[in-house]
Amino acid sequence: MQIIKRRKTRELFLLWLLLTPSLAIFTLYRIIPLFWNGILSFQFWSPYKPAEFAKLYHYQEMFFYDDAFWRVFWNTVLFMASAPVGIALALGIAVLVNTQVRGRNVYRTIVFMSYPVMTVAVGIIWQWLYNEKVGLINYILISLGVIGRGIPFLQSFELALPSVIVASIWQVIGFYMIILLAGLQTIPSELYESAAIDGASQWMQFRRITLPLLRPSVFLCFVIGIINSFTNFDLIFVMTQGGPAHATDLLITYIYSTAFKLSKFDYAAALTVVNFLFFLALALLANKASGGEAGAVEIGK
Amino acid sequence: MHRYPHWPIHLILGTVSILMLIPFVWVLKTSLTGENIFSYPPAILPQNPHLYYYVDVWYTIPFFRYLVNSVIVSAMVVAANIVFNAMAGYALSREFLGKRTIIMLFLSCMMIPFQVTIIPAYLITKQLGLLNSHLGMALPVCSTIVCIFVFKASFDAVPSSLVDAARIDGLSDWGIILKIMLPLSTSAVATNVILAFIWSWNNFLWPLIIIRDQDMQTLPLGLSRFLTVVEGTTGALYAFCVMVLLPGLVIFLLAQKEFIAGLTKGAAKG
Amino acid sequence: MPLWSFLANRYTITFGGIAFLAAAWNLYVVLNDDGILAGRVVGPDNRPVPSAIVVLAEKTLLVTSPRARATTDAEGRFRFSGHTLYHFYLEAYKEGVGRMQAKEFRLYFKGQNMTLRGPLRLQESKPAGVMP
Repeated sequence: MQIIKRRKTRELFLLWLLLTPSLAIFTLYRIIPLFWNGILSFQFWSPYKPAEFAKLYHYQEMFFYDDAFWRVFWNTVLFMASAPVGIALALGIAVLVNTQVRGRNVYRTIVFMSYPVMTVAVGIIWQWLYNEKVGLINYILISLGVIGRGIPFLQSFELALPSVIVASIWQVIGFYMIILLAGLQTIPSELYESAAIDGASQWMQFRRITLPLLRPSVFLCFVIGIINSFTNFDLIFVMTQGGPAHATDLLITYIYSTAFKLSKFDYAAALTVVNFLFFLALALLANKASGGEAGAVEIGK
Repeated sequence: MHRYPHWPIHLILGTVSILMLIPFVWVLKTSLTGENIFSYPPAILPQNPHLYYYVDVWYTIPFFRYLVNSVIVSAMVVAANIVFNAMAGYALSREFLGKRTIIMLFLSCMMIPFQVTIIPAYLITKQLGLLNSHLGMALPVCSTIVCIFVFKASFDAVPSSLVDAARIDGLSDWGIILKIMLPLSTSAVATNVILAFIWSWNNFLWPLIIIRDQDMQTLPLGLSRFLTVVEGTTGALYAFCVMVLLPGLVIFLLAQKEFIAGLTKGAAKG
Repeated sequence: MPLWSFLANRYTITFGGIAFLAAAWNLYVVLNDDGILAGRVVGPDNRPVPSAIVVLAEKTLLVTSPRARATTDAEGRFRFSGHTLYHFYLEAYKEGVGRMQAKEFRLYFKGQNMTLRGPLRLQESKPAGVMP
């Protein structure tokens, strides 16, 4: 009995040892920062003086006096609202790629190619495509006669955010397509065959069979789209640096510039808390709406 | 399902493919000819292509240094990820007291995106004295929960009869991991390698925060700094873009299947 | 058997190929980077010009600054050696014969050995001109 107990203790010890490195990293870089953020948001923090307790000063500043914050918040919401567009496009592409055409793997690769490449390079390319004087997009629009002169896409208040959203959709559409493809391939073809025998048209097959069975995948894409709007730092930073007067600032870029350009760590911590709570609420909502475990995705990009 | 014409599908998919490829083709063309930076209208076919912008990039930017930094950090991250995640995945596939708590803990950590932690992570890295260092860049991403669960699922799938037989033969726990579990989980290892590599290779925000020295910069950082210096006045910027895109594309094209499998597995938790 | 599959692996081929190309390129560079730049100068009448002065100027992103100067021999030939430039201008002139406007050259690596294919042709001097 003693030997078994000692072996069990040894085994327990070994298992905890195996867990330690990962646990240590998560504690150090996820859990502690989360709480430290919370604490920081209630302090006046400066690298030179000891911190003082600030009560709700930063939150007041954020909600009542900071117009930029509300602009940034709204931008993030708009970014999220654009996810369905990307998902719908990706769904169309996925359905087409899922057919028996020759070379569909080539198409799949080409569409997906935009995702694993470096976002910084993508940002530089798109920023230059949108260039007012020599950008390709302006050239095409002018050649087609749609406009007379080049539009300064990334310098105008109204067009900057949609332009960035288009670039972001370009980059992420491959990812959506892959997920939707995986979902499409789990639908057994007998369903389609029996529906065809029963006389259902293509469109009706799509509506009644494909769409309902794809719900988990589509919700997963929604969750990814939401997460993307909270973490999409590289593209915005390179393309517009937050845009003409915060027109393209998302919460994460605003937090970065407040913390590391203006060195207002305490206010940025309060922003981060709000950011995190907003994100958490949306993620839990999406989870509930999809009826259970839609899958939490960790995008480390 | 078999009798519809294929050509409209090819037409649509072909158009989509062209749209998706335009940015790549455009940047390649400009890096070779330097047109379209000042001249207008932009030409479609390259005239007078030359490789001299690549020479400019090589000599005016410490490209090799940035490449080496990126490689070092990525290698550290991938190695640490495989080791730590496999260990944690194995531990989670055994039964022990407190396992449920640990799993709940991990799941809740998954809800904390990296971007939320940047300020305290910066302060912590500063306290540890790891600013401006490879280790500092690698440390926060040395373990990811998604990959732990991938390993756990893979290890759970190993039939316990195999493990029991090995135990009876006297194999220690380490032996079990190394000799039985890992060889049967090559796809989990491949997923881990791919995901960890891509995340750390493309990681921009974290090095941006903690790196101040110019020669510790990684490729994304070097590229964005070059952009602010040159601001699109020279084809060398686009040559730099191409040189930076190439490794990612090459690796992606080589490891496509593992890549796609890894992303779908990682996205649909566990 | 295992060795063959190890070698025919697409990763090995790609990375091995890249490593091989990099090594071959470096070898080529090492063998050819003595910084030798040779050419000849001819006058407006296509005859070689002895004792003409050739100026080699480095072009950086911002400025062009002269680095070396050589004089052509009796047959109008000149030779620089030991330069470490990859982007430069060449300019030639001779009193009483003419001068050539600065011509841009680019190399693939610093100090690549190069022999000019065509001669540097001097034109009749025009009044304006800034000489180093």
